[in-house]
Amino acid sequence: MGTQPQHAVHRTIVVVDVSAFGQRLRAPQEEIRRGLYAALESAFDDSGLDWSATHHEDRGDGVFVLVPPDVPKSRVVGGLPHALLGEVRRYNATRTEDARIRLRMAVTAGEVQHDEHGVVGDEVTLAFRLLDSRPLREALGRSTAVLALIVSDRFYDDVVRPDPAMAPESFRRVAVDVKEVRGHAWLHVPEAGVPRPKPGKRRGRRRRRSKPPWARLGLAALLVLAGTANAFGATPPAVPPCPPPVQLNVLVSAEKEQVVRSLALELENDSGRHNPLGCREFNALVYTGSSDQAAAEALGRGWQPGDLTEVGAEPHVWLPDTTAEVRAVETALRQRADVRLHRREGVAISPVVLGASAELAAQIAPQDGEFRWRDVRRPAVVDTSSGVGLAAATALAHAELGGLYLEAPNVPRLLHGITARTTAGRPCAGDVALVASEQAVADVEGCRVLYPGDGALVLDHPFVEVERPNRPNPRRQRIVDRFLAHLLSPYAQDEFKRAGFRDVAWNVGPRTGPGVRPGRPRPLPVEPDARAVREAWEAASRPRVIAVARDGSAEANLFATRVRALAGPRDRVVDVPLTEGAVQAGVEQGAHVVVLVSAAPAPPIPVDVSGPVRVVAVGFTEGACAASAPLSEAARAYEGQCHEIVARNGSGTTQRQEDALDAIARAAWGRTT
Amino acid sequence: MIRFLVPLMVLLAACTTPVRDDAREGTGPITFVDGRDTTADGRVRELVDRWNAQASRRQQVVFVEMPTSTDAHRAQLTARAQDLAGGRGSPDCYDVMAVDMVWTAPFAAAGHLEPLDPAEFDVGRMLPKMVRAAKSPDGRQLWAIPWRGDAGLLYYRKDVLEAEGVEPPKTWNEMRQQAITIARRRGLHGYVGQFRRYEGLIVNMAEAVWAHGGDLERLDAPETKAGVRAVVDGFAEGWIPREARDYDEQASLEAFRSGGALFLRNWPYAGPVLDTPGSQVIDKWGVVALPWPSALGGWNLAVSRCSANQKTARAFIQFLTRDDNQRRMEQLAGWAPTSEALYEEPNLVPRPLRDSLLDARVRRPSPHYDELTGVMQESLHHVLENPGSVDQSLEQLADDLARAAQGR
Repeated sequence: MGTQPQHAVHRTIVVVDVSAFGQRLRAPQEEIRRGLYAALESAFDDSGLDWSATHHEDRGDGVFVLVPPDVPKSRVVGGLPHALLGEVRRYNATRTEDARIRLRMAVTAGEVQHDEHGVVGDEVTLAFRLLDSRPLREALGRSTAVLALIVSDRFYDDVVRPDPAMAPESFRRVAVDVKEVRGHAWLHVPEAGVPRPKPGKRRGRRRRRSKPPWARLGLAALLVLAGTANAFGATPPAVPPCPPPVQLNVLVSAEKEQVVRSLALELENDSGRHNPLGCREFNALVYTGSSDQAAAEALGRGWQPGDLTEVGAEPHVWLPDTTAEVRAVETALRQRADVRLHRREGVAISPVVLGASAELAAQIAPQDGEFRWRDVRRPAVVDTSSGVGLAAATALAHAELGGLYLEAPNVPRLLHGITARTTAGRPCAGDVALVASEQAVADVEGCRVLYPGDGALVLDHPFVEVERPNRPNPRRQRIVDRFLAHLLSPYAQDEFKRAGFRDVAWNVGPRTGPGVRPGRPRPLPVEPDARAVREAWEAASRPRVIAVARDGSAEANLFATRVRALAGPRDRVVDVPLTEGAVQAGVEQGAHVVVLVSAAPAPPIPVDVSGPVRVVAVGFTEGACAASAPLSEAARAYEGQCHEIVARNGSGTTQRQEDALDAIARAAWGRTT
Repeated sequence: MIRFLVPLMVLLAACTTPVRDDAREGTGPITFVDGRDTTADGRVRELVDRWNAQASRRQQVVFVEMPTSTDAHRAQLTARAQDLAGGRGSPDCYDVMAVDMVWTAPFAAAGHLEPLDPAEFDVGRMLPKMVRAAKSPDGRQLWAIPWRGDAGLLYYRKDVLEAEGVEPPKTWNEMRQQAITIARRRGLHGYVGQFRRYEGLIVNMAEAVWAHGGDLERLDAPETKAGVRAVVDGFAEGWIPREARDYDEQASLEAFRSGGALFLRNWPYAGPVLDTPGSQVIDKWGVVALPWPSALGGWNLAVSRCSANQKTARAFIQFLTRDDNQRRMEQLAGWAPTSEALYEEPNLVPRPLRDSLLDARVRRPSPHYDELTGVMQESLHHVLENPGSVDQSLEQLADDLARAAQGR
């Protein structure tokens, strides 16, 4: 280590980072670290900078260097990158792909100080932000270059621009927007695989669009220059005009909207590079529709005119959270010939996990970060209109039902048991747990990620092509293919990871949330019927009013207690007298279900009440549910059942009670379809 | 570059135009698409219904509303037109399209529109600048028929100006003075407009530049730089609040509606919103024409090239743009007509809108309007954030525009 300045001193700050270091196996990591240090040391020495006189700190996948104040700044930028490039190439030449190095480098200059935590200063922060900025990452992600350099706007103005020897025209001005840093910086890719700016042009463009590859065109480049010179004359250009860009509409789940939008716009801005004439090839519209569910339903209908105003433009690509949603749409589309879906690869992965506060985590997953669903007592409210919410509901339902057979008679009661426990309280505070994707959970403050011990549902984020056989468009087809390839490119996969998703090989990003484990959690291989789960969950979540009309007998009183226990905090159970007007009285109190409970023969109940009320009757005497008995007639008239709870033929009353309670739950929280 | 590329594009588009074919004289059912019908009581649908009531059963019109967001609206029209390019008579064809004035040239250059005969629609009765915006940049070909116009207005706090005993401003400088002195005294922001990085920024900057005698087409003119600098100074002097750099129509309207600003630049639709419940300025606001030229907005009607029933399509456009129907839509929905005569009718078009619209200027039509406006938005927003960079940025902008004008 070199000198340790105690006071604020003006220094040149260099930070270097090995691209995609985090994904490598341990062995190459060690090798790369050694290689990086050797390369830095040689490069510094080669450029006349004394490595041993610098202050440098190891940053895991990179190095932070303070150059002594007496070293001319121009030497740092003038010689160092090229020397480093040479060293890295030399190193890479003898290594396998796994151990090769690609470097990002940022240079700023300014006052730095040491405090008890180490080196501080605005320019130090700036250097790290620039190192992390998108243009710099892209510069490597989009090319075969092994080194990309970014310098601050001020450094460029003070050091690079005034010195022709630094080739200021080889720097490209780029917009950076990282954390608190918003503004411009200057990018330089020495001897890159990407086209460099045309000589003679004073400055790069602010727009993040790359230059067209004029060099490849040879003659055309000359003609264009001639055209520029003639800009105010009347000579027509020799380069043909660009055809209009293809319109690509991308319907995406809310969960991925941000990352997919930025990836699509980058590809769009960059599309000129793939085009021999430098023409921008497509325009992308990335949107979510009013909800994932609404989007899926509109697709299932073939996207009718009303869906244009309610949901949005017709999609060409659909990026839902799960294949389960795609299957539901495919089923709906079986009747139609005008729209077809093609499932391609998944573009990212995220398991469905539990978010818990530290205290809850300590209780339910004391050792290994794995929990059992039965220990989740208070889940946060699940919104099944999103793909993730659908998966969360599926996970909870699967755990409670021991499977996904939603037709069993006790399903509404069991599902209501879960939905009644959900709370609008803040997730990951106290005992409120959040069931969501790993990415979303890690993003919520206070949430620790826990994995289900018996297997996690996996969001597979499929890429779905929406084909309209009546109007094929081969030009768009090529763009769709390229968009998919882009989403699967190492650069985009890195972006997914940075946004908290896993890449398609299950790798996690460099900065994971608390509790996130890099390994692959055990998957839960279920294929939910998206539509059935949504319907069942929504039905079970409806707040209901149940009116109980009982005759005052001990059996009826006891049964009424059991009915009350079915209700959740959003439901209401009211008492009405067991008279001829029982159903009417229930309806007047807003009841969705009226339960008639009697240990004696009930009075005849008129069946003239209109409205969607349902009646379930429970009789404790033999023959109470005979076809012509009043209880039976009332139940039949209002789409319910009559249950006779008497000991008979060896079977006890307990099961019959449970059956009756299941029937009440079905009437209140069962699917109506 | 723009100047010679544009004619070339048009020439290429014109070469591929089929000469007189069956579709041109075809009659039959058609589909008409417009933005979401946001008029009170669905006046657009009613207009279509009136056509259908008098048209033969063969020439009925189906009205389809497009997505609410402008981007999605345009994406839907573009994708559909691209899918059907080169074919005719698909039931999916949007035979008649309402297109934003600035989309007209790009749609025409892309080959999505049929050229129209000015005489058939009597466009001589229409505001010449609106007709110009519906033509190819060289003025030779008419691609759409102007249907409704739009222009900016200056909303002001009537209660405040009256209490101060002053008239609403008649120049940029007067507004600046009032915004500095009166607004500051009253604890109000001086002026809010649309300075977020989107099309609204171009509109607002173009207007400020026109107010100073410049034009965004002459980036090196001192007047143009003065106009850009006037906005930059407004932010620096504080009478345009910093927040306005993120304002669109809605956000600026809300800033004024909540009682926080002395002046607001917005479109005619803002007026009724200022009197809705929750507004802090009910009965406290007034409106005048923009004291300087407004950017002209508006929607045109075009015939799609994929249409097999173009005769019906043209007849339907004639119907929609007839003076009596324009008058009706002004009365029922507040739409600014495109027919010049209607501006002479007393008590039809409100005075501020009339004055602003008649004085409004067209944003230059271009097949690459999107690319051009994108580059301009970026540059001008950069200027707002870096006040020292006006000269340098405008110089750079000229280069960037030349490239964008080629769609690159």
